[in-house]
Amino acid sequence: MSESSEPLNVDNWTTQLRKGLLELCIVNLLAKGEIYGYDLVKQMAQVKGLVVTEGTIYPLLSRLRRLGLVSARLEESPNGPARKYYALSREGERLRVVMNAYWHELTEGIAELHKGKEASHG
Amino acid sequence: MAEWTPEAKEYLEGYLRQVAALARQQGDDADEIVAELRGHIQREAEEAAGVMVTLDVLRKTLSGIGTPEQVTGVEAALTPAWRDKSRGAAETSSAPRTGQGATAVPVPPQQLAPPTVVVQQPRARSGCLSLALAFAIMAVVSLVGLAILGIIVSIALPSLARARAEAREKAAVENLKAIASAEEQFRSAGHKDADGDGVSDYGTLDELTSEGALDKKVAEGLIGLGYEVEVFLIPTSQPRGPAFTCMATPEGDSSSGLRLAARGRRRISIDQTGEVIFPETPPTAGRIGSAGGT
Repeated sequence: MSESSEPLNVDNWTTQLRKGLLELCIVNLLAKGEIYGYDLVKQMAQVKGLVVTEGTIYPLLSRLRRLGLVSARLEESPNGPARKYYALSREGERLRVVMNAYWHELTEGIAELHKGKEASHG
Repeated sequence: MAEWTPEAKEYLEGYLRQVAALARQQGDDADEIVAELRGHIQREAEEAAGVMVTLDVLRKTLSGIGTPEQVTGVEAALTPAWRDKSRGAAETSSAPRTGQGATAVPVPPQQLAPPTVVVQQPRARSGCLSLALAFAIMAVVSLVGLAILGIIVSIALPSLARARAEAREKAAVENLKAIASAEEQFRSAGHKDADGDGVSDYGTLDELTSEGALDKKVAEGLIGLGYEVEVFLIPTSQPRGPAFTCMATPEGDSSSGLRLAARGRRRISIDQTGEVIFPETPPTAGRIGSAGGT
């Protein structure tokens, strides 16, 4: 039986974990209603623990739009170039429900695990 | 809306070009991402700068946006939270995220700038453009200067020539008046009665000077002014009595009144009445008879 000599890279682990949560945060934010892309990015940047560079949101939005989970429309702005507003599509809403259900199940499971651990120690 | 320095513009374009290239590699819609990112960066930078977006302001803005690799997911965009907390305040303040407050994520300085190729290329081009612009401005300024000089010369030279011609004419008129005065003096003294009718006549320039009525320098002065001087005499047999006409003609232009006018110089004459006139053409031999001569 061979053993890996490389230790667990915690940086990569946390990065991958939160990267996957970005989509979950975006669809939940869009579930509140149509939102201007810039404002969405700003709100995402304020999510505690999600610490994210703002530029990463736009590729994600673009991918979600191409997958049909998010719709986008342009609106002329008196203060500059046209603004792109994003909204959750029906398909996106269905996905959001599934994602949230899974997320809650996961967090509850992890919480139960912690409870059991604490009980065994107590 | 704030202005952008050329360096900041070039830097932004280089940054976005690299984002586009990496986004295409990832199979993403590069145009859409770049358009959205551009608007975001412009708004952030202009709000931070106020009036002028400099390279420094743009770099600080991009530190919050992420490197092209982070934006496109080629590189980890999410800095591990536990590591953020373990970092010292000094490191955090060395690379602040704009407007992020307590959740600010310090991005290592070496990750802030786009790769060397992208950054240096715009700078090099910027230098060439600046040099080319400087040459272009110099060329335009020189041309404008030459044009202005040409206009000034074209206005000033004819005016100067005209002023000099007028000064010469004025001096010539004074000399002609001196000759007319000498003629009256000569006739009053009765030095000459060419047709023997008992009425004194006017004399030629040689007769005037030889009898002391005219200083030779007067006639020479006219010559010095560029005129040829002739005196035409009319015999006393004419009904109106003896007469003379003294004509000063610009040298070399005795046949063309048009050319004289073009040069700003004219023929000048004076007669026994003392009237100075500027005849367009010289009197013909028929008009003055056979009594003329210098």
